[in-house]
Amino acid sequence: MGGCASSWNPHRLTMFSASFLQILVLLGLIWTALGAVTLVGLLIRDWIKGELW
Amino acid sequence: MMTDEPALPVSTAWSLVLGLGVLWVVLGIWWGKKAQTSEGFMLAGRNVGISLGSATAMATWVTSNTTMVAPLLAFEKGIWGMLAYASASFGLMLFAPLAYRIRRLLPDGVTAGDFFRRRYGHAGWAVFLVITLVYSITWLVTMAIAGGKLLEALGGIDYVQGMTLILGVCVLYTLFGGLYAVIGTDFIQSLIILVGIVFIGFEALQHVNVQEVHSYLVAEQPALLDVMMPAALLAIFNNMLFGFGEVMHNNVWWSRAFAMREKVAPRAFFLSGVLWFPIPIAAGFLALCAGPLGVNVTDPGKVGPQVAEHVLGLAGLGSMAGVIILVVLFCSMASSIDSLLAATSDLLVRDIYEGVFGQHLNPEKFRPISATAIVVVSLIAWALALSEWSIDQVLFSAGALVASLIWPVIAGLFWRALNVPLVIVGIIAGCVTGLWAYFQIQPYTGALVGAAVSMVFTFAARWVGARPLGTLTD
Repeated sequence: MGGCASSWNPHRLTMFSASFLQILVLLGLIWTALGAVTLVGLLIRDWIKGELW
Repeated sequence: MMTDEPALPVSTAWSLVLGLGVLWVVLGIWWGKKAQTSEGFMLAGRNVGISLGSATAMATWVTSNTTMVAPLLAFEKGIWGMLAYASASFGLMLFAPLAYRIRRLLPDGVTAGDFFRRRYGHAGWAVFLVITLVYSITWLVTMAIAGGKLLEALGGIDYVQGMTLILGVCVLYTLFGGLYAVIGTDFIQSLIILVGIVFIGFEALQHVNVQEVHSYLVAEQPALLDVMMPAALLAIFNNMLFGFGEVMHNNVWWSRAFAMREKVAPRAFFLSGVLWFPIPIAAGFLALCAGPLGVNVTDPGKVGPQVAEHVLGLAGLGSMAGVIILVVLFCSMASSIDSLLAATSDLLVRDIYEGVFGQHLNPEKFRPISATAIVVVSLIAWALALSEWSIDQVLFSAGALVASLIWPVIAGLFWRALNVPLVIVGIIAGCVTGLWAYFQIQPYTGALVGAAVSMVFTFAARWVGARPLGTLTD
């Protein structure tokens, strides 16, 4: 692309911000990790209570 | 993986898949001892708790599509692409109140076919069976094809051999253990998937920060950050409705609703949706890292594993990178293949063998019949997967079919009177118009149109010529 590429970006007014992307990614990864922890915790609880299956 | 050279030596790939396969089969045999009756085999004794229930619903919904198509959507449609795929989790969450209703109304139900037969008669049952069998078989075939391609790309294993291996492993432990084996292995597979995705995601952040990714996209691919990207916005709603239709109609989810304890089912489905939601976002993020990391993406359909391999290589993991990716992807496929085998064979046994052919299944001598059904389903899938044809297009177009069942399911569960023939006409009309829209307008309109047309007919059936619905207990 030539020099005009930086002169006007038609998407600039309606772009997701870097902060939003940062929050989304970190939330996604932490949330996924918490999911694994939750499943293990629930398994232990079900096992102790004899409610696995 | 996306280079021409496999990431793993052939011997390593074979050892890995065979090792995992032996593990799942041994567990399947062990857990299969609990299945002393057909109800135990098909529905795990109707006593599954919340931990196993949530994990199996979540793991089944994590397919190779989640780990490979979610990054593809992010690569092509940016942030909205990731969120569009994540919106499929709403199907699981919204199934929670339906699961509660299903357990209340069908305490002895075995398959989703029981609901359609009792609520909508033989005509509605037949339409449902056609849609769900077509959809389930195509879903199974896409998983088998993905498995074969994965082993070929990652480990240099011949496509037919790899595809046969993955299908064969899943068939074996499902044969031995039924839904007990499926649910038990799903829990282990779900943990591997979650941990793997988190590990790869955080490893990516060690080599590129989000600000760099954003700056790169602003400069090179600003459309991927566009809040008003039309195609992506369309994709969100189409994907969401596709997800609703898949979950609400398919016996994979109904069998789980029947398998869980009555009060557990709603909570487990809701929790599984919550657990599933971030996975496409975490997987999709990898695709956005491709540019800043300088990864030359040769096949957008494999951008996720390609970037993952690159990231793990930067971390100094060497060939372990291929091992981790293969294990995570194998688990994501196995967790869906086993569920499809079990649920689809249950339909063949309950709805075709018993329902259509009027045979009686001896609750204690069920194994030959159930085994035959599992083998038949797997052979059909294997034969169709041999050709490696682009069956994913068939699967995506089926969004129109399954979306047409959303409102009939909801109406059948919550309304007391309906004009049944009008609902059935609506399902068929939704299928036809949805498919027309998929092929003639744009793929991301198929499920939207199918659901909308079916909805109009279903609502009309509530007020025009409505008659009390058939009972849900025999």
